Amino acid sequence: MRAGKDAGGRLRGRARTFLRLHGHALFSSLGDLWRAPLMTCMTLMVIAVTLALPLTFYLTLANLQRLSGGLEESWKVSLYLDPKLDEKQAAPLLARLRKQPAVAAVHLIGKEAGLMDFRRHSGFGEVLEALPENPLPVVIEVTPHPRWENPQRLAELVAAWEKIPQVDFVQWNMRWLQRLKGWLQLAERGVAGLGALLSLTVLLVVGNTIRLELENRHEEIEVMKLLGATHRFIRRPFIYSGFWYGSTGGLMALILAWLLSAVMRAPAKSLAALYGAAFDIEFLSLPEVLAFAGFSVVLGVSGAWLVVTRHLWRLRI
Amino acid sequence: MLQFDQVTKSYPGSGDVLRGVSFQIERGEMVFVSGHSGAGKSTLLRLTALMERPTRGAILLNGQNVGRLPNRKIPFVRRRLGLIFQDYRLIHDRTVYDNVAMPLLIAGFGPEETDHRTRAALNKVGLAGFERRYPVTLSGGEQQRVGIARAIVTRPPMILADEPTGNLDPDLSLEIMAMFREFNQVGVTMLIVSHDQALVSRFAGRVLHLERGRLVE
Repeated sequence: MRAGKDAGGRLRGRARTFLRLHGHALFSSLGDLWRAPLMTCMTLMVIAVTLALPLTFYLTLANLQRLSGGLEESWKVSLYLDPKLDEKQAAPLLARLRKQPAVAAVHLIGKEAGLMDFRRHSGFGEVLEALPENPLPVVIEVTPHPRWENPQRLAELVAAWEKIPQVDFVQWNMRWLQRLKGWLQLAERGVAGLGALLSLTVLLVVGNTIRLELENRHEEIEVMKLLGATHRFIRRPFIYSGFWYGSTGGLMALILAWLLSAVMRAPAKSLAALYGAAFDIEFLSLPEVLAFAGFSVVLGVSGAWLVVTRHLWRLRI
Repeated sequence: MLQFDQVTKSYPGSGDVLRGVSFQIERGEMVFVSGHSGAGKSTLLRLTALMERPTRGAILLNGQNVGRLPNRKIPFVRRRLGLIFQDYRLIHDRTVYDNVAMPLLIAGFGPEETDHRTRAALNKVGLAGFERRYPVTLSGGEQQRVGIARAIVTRPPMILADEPTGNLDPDLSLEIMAMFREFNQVGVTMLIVSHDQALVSRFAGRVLHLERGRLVE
């Protein structure tokens, strides 16, 4: 009973010492940063801008991806027939297509129906009024069988349809959607690469700032070692400096990126309205904000850790 | 308490600084190390404070061979030594109080204990009321007394002083030495390096005389 009590007391004592040492490091590092406000502010701005850059790219990309995801994943293929053909002349082709195993459904859009559609959506209705006759072709809309819902198989199908003499050209929504996705994937790689490079920059900026601080306090560190300080004790306030640089810089980057997205919100909205779409720029979600903040802290702390550990390792007393 | 056994220290390019030095210091002794500059006095002290490792031989501190101690254990040995330097080695952007309290902070003492011991140490060296001052505003003698307060604040069983009066005038030197004798009278083992023969001879104590790296009794 008594032994248990003693052990509990020892543990509490150890916890108190631990908290005291960390509390001291936390506030002494904050005090050190506060004593050189200009230098600290400049370093923080460099970190903030460096982090805000990939963050903004990421936001832009995420919003574009959301936009492309909102586009209906349509596998429908439109066959635009020769404008000289009318609905009646298109009927045999329609029947032939319907029999193909790759075709699930066909739908014929006549010249008149096409005209009405065009009037409704394009806003160029008056232009058509001025024309002597309806210039629109007959269109056959083909819905492929689910087994052909694959870009490569569909491409083969489309190539075959393009060879049909009555067909003027084939429009395939999936194709440009695929291309857009390809571009976005490429941009994603680019943003990831850029993010990695700029993260490395933050690591170096924090590391270099801490290195200067170490050099300024070289004598003090030597004295502390002679007074029996462990490497951990000496390292601790510098690690906390790294923590402050990472967290504050990350927070500032978040604010910068948020301001930028707020500025772009209204023009993006009105641009989307022109396309008849409702689109709103979205900022990071809460988990994303937390992940970003955590990552910034990790960058700051590891930059500091690397530099201090190397410095202490080279100190030979 | 402290034992050197056939200790040799050589630096690449400058040969042996200490050659086969052997001596033993008992608990509660007051020992001076004298000799001309370059005789190896400072090296002897640096070896004892674990700032250097011996090339050959053993250094025993409380029966522990500290010459072969792994680096990570060195801090804990140093906490049981009080170090005093010729150039005081104070931290200039900290107050007198913070300088003296530093070893307690490092050893993880609580705030009340730290405050109590720091004020007691400052009292002992006659610097009560200097807590908020910065080292640069103090005279050389006062700075050295801050250094001494810092060395005794953890109440170490042994104090090592490297030319503690090297930068002070004779009166101040005597004052400092008298302080050391006081510590010694309450049981602290003192190892004092000094090239000042006249000063050393005024105090009753064993003298280890070094000449070109060898001990001459």
